[in-house]
Amino acid sequence: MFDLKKAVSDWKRSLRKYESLEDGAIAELESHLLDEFDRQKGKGLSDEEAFTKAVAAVGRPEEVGGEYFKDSRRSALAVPSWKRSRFSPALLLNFLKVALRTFRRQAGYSLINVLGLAIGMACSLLIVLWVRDELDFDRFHRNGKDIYRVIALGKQGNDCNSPAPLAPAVVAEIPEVIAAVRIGNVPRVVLQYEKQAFYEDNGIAADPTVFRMFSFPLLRGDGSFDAPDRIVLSASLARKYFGNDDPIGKTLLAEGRVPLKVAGVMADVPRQSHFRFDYVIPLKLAEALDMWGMQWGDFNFRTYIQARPQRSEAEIIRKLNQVALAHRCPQVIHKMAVFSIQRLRDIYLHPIGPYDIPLSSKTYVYFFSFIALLIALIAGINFINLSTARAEKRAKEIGLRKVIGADRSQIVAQFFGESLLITLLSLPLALAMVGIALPHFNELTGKEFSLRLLSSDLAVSLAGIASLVGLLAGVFPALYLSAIQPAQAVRGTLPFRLIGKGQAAGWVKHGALRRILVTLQFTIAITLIVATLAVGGQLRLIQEKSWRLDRDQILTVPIKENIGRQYDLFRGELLKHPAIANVAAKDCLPTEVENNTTGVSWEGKTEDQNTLVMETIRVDENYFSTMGMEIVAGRGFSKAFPGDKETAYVLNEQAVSKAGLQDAVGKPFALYRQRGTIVGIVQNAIFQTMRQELRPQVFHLFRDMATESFKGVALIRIKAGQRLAAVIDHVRGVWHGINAYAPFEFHFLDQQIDAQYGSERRLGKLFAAFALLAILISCLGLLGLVAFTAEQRTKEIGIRKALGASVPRILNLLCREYLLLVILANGIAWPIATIAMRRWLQGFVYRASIGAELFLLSGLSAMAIALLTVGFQAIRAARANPVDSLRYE
Amino acid sequence: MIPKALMAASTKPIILTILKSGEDYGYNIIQRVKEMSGGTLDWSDGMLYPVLQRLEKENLIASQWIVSEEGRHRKYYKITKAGREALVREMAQWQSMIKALNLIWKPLPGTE
Repeated sequence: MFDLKKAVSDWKRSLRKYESLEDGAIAELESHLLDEFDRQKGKGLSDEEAFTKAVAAVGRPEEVGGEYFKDSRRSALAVPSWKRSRFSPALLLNFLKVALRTFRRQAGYSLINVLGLAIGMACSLLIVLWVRDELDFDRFHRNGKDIYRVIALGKQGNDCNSPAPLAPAVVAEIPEVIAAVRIGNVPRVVLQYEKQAFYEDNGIAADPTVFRMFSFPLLRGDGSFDAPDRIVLSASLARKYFGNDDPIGKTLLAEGRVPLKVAGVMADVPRQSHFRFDYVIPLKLAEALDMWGMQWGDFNFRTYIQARPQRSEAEIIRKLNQVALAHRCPQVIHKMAVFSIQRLRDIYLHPIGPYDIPLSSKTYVYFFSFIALLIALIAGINFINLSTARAEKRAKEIGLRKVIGADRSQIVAQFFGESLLITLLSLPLALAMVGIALPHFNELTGKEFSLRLLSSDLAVSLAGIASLVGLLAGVFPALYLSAIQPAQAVRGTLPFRLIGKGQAAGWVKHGALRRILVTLQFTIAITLIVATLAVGGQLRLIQEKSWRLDRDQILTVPIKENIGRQYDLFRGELLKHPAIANVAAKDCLPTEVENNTTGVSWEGKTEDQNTLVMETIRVDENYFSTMGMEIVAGRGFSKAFPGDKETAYVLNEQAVSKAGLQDAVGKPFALYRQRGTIVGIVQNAIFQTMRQELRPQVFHLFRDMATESFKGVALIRIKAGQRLAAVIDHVRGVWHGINAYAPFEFHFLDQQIDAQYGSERRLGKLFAAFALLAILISCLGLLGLVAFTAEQRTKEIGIRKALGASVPRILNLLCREYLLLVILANGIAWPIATIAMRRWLQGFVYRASIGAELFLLSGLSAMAIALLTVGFQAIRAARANPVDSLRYE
Repeated sequence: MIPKALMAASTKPIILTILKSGEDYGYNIIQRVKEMSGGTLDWSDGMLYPVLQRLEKENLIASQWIVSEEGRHRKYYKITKAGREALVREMAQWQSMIKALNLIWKPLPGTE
C-alpha cells in the first residue's frame, strides 16, 4: 500500500544530501511537490503514479541543489560538498603514502608481485621484439609495394622457382609488368685475390636489373654487368679481399680459373631481407658456365617481377599462365603446375615448397605471440590472487575511506594507481632482465637485437605494455576491493558481499576464483613442460635413427681444385696416417641430395611405378666400408671388377622394396637408359632430415671424378681414441701438398647431420625456457598464497596443535588444497599438450611416441615443485610454537 | 527547443513581469509561465526556486510564508521598487536586442 507521508519524508531525506538545499528551500520544494501531486490526482491518477510524476516534474535534486549552490559559492571553481573534488593533491599524496607503506609492510608479497610482473613483462617484451622484427621483413625496398615473386603451385607440391625464359617473356608480353629479375643461388665457390682465398657460400647470379628493382644501394662503381665476367661485392666482402684498397676494376679468380672483374660495391644486405647475399655475378656468366638448365621445363630460378602501380593481381596471374602456355612450358601444358605471384612482403612468412630459401613461418609468429600472452597472463594472475587474498588487510582502510566520504570511483582509482605503481616499479627490473637475456635470446633466434633498439619507438610500446599489464592486473582487485561495504568492513564481518550478486559473488567469496586461477597457471606450465619433453623425445629419436658410427668419427673435406684429378694420390697420402682408417668419395654431402630422377627402370616395372623417384648417388669403391654401411646382399663396388664403373648398381633396401624386386642381386637395372646389373643391396641409412621419408637410393661409381665432383666430398674415417688435432694437421698437410689456392676446410659429419635439426633444437630450448618461467612465476604466486593462508590461520593452527594435532596433519591441512589443484591442472594440461604435440609430430616421418612416462614425469615434476614451494612455508607454520600464536589472547 | 543559456537569461524578466501583476507563489508562477507562453517556455519545475532565491538576494523581490486555507505552507513573492526599476531596464535591453535582431534579419531587397 502506498504511503504518501512516508514517500514524501523519504524524498525529503534524499534531498538533505545536497547541503545547499536549506530547510526553507526543501519546504518550498515540498509544497511545490504537493501542489503538483494534487494536480496529477485531479487527472484521475493513483497516489503512487501521481507522486512519481510530481517527483519527476520537480526535477533531479542534484541539479536543483547545484543551482542553489551556485548562488552561495565563493570561488568559480568550488565544487558542492556532495560531489568529490576534481583533483585533490593531498589525497593523491595520501594514496602514494599508503601505497608505499603497504608495500613496505608487506614487503614479501610486494616483491613477489614485482618479480612476477617483471618476468612476465620481460618475456612479453622479448617476444614483442621478435614478432615486430619478423613482421618488418623486406620493408626497406622503395618499390616494395610493386614487387612480386613468381611461384609455381604444383600437384606434387609448390615451388618457389620458375624457368629462366619466363622473365624476359613476361616483361615483353605482359603490359602490367615493367621489369623482372631472375635470381639463382651460386653453390659455394673459392674466390681468390692474389694470395688470399676463401670459400664463399652466399652468392647469387642475377639479371643486371637487380639493383634497379630492389633497394640494395651501390656504394662504389655502377654495378653494370656489361660483360659476363663481372662481380658486385658487398662492403664487408670487399673489405675481406681488398682491405682499404679500391676494389673497382680489380680481378677476383673464382675456382682458380674464372676471372671476375669487380664492377661495384654494394652496402651489406640488411638483416631483414628474405634473401641475403655477399656477391652478385651476372646471370649470363652462370649461363655461359652451364650451371643450370635454362629451358622452359627447368625450374631453377626465383623470378621477381615489378608491376605497374595500377594493376590487378588476378589479371597478372592469368596472363602469366597464358605466356607460359604460349611458350609451351611442359609443366603448364601437362597441368602439373600453375604460376601465381606472391607479394614481396608476404614472402618471408610464407615459404613456398621444400626448396625455398630458409624463411620463417607465420605459425611461429602466432605461436610465440600466444606464449607471450600466456606468460603475461600467469604473472597477471599472481597479481590478482595476491591482491585479493590480502583484501582483508585493506578492508578497514577502505571502510574508513568510505565513511569519511570516499566514493567508489576514488577507491577504484586508488587501487588502479597502486597496481600501476607496482608495474612501474617492475619495469626497470624487467628491462634489466631483458638486458641479461638478450644475448641468449639472440643466439636462440638468430637475430641481432640490442637494448639500444629499445630507446627509440620501442620505449612507447614498452610503456604501453607496462600500463596495459598494470591496468589489466589492477582492474579485478580494484573492483573487488572497492565493493567493500564500510559497515561490514568496520564490524569485521568478512567475507563480505563482493562484486555482483548470486553465483559469481559466491564463487569469489569462497576463494573459488583464486583456485581457478591457480589451476589455470599450472595448466599452462604443465602443458609447456609436456611440450618440452615431447620435443626432447623427438630429438632423441632423430639421434637414434640417424646414421652414425659407433665410435669412429667421419671428417668431411670438399673435393676442390686438384683433389678430384689426383684423388688416388690424395687418398694414398691420407692413409699413411695410422689414425685414418679409410677414405671415400661421394658426389655431395650425405645430408644433401645431388640428383633425383624417375629415369630408372628394372624388370617388371609397373605403370604406377613410373612416378617413383630415386635419389642417384655417385661414390667410389670405398664408400660403404668407410661409412660402415652393411651390404645386405651381393657385394659392394670393387676395383676387382673393372666393369663396375659402367654397369654396376647398388640399391638401398628402400629402393628394393619400393621397386618390388625379389632376389634383386644379379637382376638388370638401368639408370638414364644406361643398362647394368644390381650387384648388391646396402642397408638403409638416414642422413637427411626426417621430415621426409627415406628415399629409395641407387648408388653407382664415379667415372671421372675430376668432372663429376663439383660439390663432391671426401669422407675420412678416423679411428676412435686418436688425437684429432694431429690427424687434422696431417689432412691439412696433404691438402696443401696437392692444392695451390683452395683454402683447407673440414667438418665432422655427425655435426652436419645434427645441424639439420637446428630449428627443432631451438624450439626445444624455447619451450624449456618458457616452461621454466611459467613454473617459476606460478610458484612465486603459490608461495605468496600459502604464506598468506598460513598467516591467516595462525590461531587455528595454534589451537589445533594445542589440542594435539601433529605436524603432518597441519601440513596436510595447508597443502592438500594446492596439491589437488595441481593434479586437476595435470588433468586439463595432458589432453591439450597431446593434441598440440601430435600436430607438431605430423611434420616428421619417424615420430617419437608421446608415452605415459612423459605425462607422469611432467605431472610429478610440477607436483614436486609445487610441493616444495608450499611445503617450506607450511612446515614453518606447522612447527611454530602454539604458545606464540595464542599468547596475547 | 530553446537552449539552456537563453532560457536562463530570460527567467529574470519573465518572473519580474509576472510578479508585477501581483504577488504569487512558486507553483503558480510556473503554471502561469507555461500558460502565458503557450507551452514554449517549459522549465524544469525545481529550477525556478534557485532563481527566486537569487532575485530575492538581489532585493528585486521579497517573500513571506503564508498558510493556505487547506493548511499548506506557501512562500509568496512580490516585486520590490528596485525590482520594478530593474524590469524597466531589462525591458529596454530586450527591446533593443529584438530591434537589432530584426534589423539584421530584415529581408534583403530581391530576396524573400
